[in-house]
Amino acid sequence: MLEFSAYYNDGRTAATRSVNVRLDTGCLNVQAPEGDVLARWLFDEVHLVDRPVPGQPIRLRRGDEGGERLIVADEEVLASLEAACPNLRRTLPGLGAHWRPIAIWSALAVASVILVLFVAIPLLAEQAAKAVPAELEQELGEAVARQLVNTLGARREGGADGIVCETPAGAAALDRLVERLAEGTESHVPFRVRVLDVPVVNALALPGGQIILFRGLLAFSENSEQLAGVLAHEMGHVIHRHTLEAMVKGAGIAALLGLVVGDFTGAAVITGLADAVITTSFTRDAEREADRAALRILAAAEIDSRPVADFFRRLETERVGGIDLPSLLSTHPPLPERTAAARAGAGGGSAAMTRSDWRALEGICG
Amino acid sequence: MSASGTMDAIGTGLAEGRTGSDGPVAFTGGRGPLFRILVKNSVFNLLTLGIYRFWAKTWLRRYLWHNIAIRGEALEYTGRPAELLIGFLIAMAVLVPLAMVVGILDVAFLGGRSSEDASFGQLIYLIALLWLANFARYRVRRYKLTRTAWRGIRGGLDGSAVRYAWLAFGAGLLTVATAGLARPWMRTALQRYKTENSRYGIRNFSFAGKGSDLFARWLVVLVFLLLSLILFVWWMVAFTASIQGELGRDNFAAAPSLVVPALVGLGGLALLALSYMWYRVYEFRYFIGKTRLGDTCFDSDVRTSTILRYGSISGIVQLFLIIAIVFLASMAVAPMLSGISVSSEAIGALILPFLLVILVFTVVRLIVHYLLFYFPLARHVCVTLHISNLEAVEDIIQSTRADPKFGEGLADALDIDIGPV
Repeated sequence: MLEFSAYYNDGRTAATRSVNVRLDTGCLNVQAPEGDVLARWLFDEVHLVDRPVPGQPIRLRRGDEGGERLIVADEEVLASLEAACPNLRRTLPGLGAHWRPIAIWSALAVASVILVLFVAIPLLAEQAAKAVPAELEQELGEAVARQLVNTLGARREGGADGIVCETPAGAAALDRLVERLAEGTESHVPFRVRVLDVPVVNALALPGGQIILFRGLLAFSENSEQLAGVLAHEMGHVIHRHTLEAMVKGAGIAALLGLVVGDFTGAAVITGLADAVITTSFTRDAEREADRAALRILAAAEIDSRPVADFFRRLETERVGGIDLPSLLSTHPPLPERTAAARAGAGGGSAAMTRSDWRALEGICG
Repeated sequence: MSASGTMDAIGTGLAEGRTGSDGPVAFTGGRGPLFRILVKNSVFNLLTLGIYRFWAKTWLRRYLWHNIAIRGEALEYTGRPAELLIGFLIAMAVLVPLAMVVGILDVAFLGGRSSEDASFGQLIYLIALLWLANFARYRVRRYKLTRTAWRGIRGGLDGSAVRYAWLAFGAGLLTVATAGLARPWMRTALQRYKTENSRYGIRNFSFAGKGSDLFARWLVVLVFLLLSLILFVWWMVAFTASIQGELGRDNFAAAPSLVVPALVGLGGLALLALSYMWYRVYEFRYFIGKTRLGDTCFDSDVRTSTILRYGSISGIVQLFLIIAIVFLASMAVAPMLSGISVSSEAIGALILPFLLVILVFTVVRLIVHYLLFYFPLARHVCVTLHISNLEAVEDIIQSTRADPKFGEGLADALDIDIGPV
């Protein structure tokens, strides 16, 4: 069909007029009913505004900018147009000149994210953690510890505090061990060690000197040197303020991810997952640092560090009654590395606790 | 309506300048195409971890815009995904260092501050965020208007996003200071700024609305708000009293004495929500009625009852969805929990399917809401919009003002809610 009627917008005024369109050589000839030529659209610059929907007129636009439009009813016209106009189906204007700013800003954005994630956040987190005054850190640690006790002890009869193990003999023995180890440190905060009646083989270092040991850990340790090794490791975390630093880093990373992932359905879930994955990868260095500090503390207290190597070996090879040991292992350096380091530490040295003290400590949870 | 029918409408409209008893605005969209777009958007969004969202938004807006026809001539959305993408990248390059500093400062002072200091800091943070949100919304409006065309002529938004943000801030302060009484004036002032800065081609819209016209209806909402507060306080008092008296006993034993206040409280809340919706619909009709484009006038017949109907249907279906998911999930989880082992492995194995279920549920819920609420709502708003003197637009000239090149980066990065499209 070489000629058809249509409606035309000239892109300069908001008026629609009836026109006749003819397919000439190389262009569409848009003519008013009276015959005067209103526009000539080169075939190259004829595009569909949107994919044709059966039952609705076809809209054509001229070029990527500008407001000239043609509205055509006849669907048969579409076939002739498709034959003549090579760019007809380009309903969305291409990137065109946009590729340059996209490339530049993409590079900038990616560089910005990488820089912040791997350089700025760790650096600033370390400084921020050091800048927090000791009293503040202690208050924070107390609050977190309280929260932990309340959460874990929620279903206890007699209240959440029942989950803290405090037989007098055991507590006294623990205090003596802590004091002996603490002498070898220059901690900015006093240590406050609690044992919780939870059957998990784990230990936690919270901000402000708060250390949590779980009953499962006591049961799993064969002797007091092994326990002392774990305790010294946690003390290493405290001295270097790792937990506080991790919290600051975590906040920074979470904020960053929230920005990057943006706004769509399901974003919250994806962000949470990514956040967890990225955060754990940061802790290996912290664990190595705590391991080194632990060996120093043990050496200063003249405690034999070799049983600690046995402890790590057992962690890896034994599985205690279906309970997995992910938290001690997953973010930690590879076990052979830890075992070797522990063995290379000072040999000799005495037992960590007297036999009666160790027995009292083993029974601290009554 | 067939293609030729539409062309007839265009022709008749041109010839006679008729508006007819049903509004000249028609919504020609179908649920099928919308469903396909929504599914495609959701799937690709998740697969590309959100990068597809710029394309998703563009396709959705094109669907909506291109199916709104005024006297047979449809609107056009001329936005491109690349523009949204660049807007986002710019916002990222600028915001990332800023947000990181804020985040770190936030935690570094977390534990030690006295509770007054901490709450004050949070208040400042919230206010700053609100200011930014209004700033971003104005820019989003500008992007949408400059990418909307009818008869080839584009829209536009003058004014300054900064000024709008401050206007919103001041109005917000005033509303809080007057315990909510000043809100109609606040809404009118903001609407005036937005409307009178909006233009089609080179002609600006005008707005003749006054806050006092809305005050009577707003007062009704405030009365319901007060009622709900009183009921809520009554329920709280009853609750704490029964708790103190029933310390250590199973909660359910105390339930009967709480049921009545709870039901009454819920009823009060429902009435409040209804009255607020009723006010907003009236406000919408009022704002449209007071808007003009030169000699062209607008009018809206949107009904609260219709919106309520669509909302209820969508809400009920979503409720069934939630119940179904919870039921299925508990059936799947129960066998796992019957064993005594609390191994972290088992919990870990549970987390991934759990997240998957939540993901699927969120997507399905969204699609249901769009199909059952937003779709019929769009059609209703279009059909009830009356435009008189449409011919007066014919001498409007295309604006030669430079449009903003990129869009919406700030709103996207900060997850600011700009509505369904």
